[in-house]
Amino acid sequence: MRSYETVVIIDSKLEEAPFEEEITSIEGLISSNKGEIVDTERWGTRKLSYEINDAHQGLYTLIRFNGEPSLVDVLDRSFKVNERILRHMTKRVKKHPAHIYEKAEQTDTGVEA
Amino acid sequence: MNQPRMTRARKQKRIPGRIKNIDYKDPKQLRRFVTERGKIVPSRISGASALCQRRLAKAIKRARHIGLLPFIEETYK
Repeated sequence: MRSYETVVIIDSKLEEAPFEEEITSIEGLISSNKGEIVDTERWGTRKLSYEINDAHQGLYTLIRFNGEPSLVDVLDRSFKVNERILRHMTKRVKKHPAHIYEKAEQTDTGVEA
Repeated sequence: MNQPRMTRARKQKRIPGRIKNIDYKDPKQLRRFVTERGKIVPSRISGASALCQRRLAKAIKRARHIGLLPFIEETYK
């Protein structure tokens, strides 16, 4: 098991609902390939520093997860196929920051449904 | 004839060589290490140590890839 973090930029021309769907489908893909999601950070809509596929802004999401190296290939392939995803980047991290786990525990105890 | 060598005043090092928590997800921090045009500032000017400069360069390039930093600033295009 290795720790990874992925930044995904989704085309913000989409409405809020499909955006959420997109994230859950990514999360689903991770967990169905023996990965475990540690945290999902939504940065919201951000202006892009330069135009990507005619888009000037995008919805940023950071997903931290643990998984096998083959999972990264699977994700990479699915991101490339998906036209709603403007950019993506997966980076291996030595360790997820400690405060992430604290945050995860807090949400587990009932703040978030 | 050779031109007399230009002597240029070295910029005062304002940042200590070691830079902590270099993160590609933090464009605010990285902005300090790129020029107005968006180029990476050389370590002799920024004062970053060799190790930190390598980390910075990598972080800046990552930030560019995910659109957090520009390759070239819009106004200079």
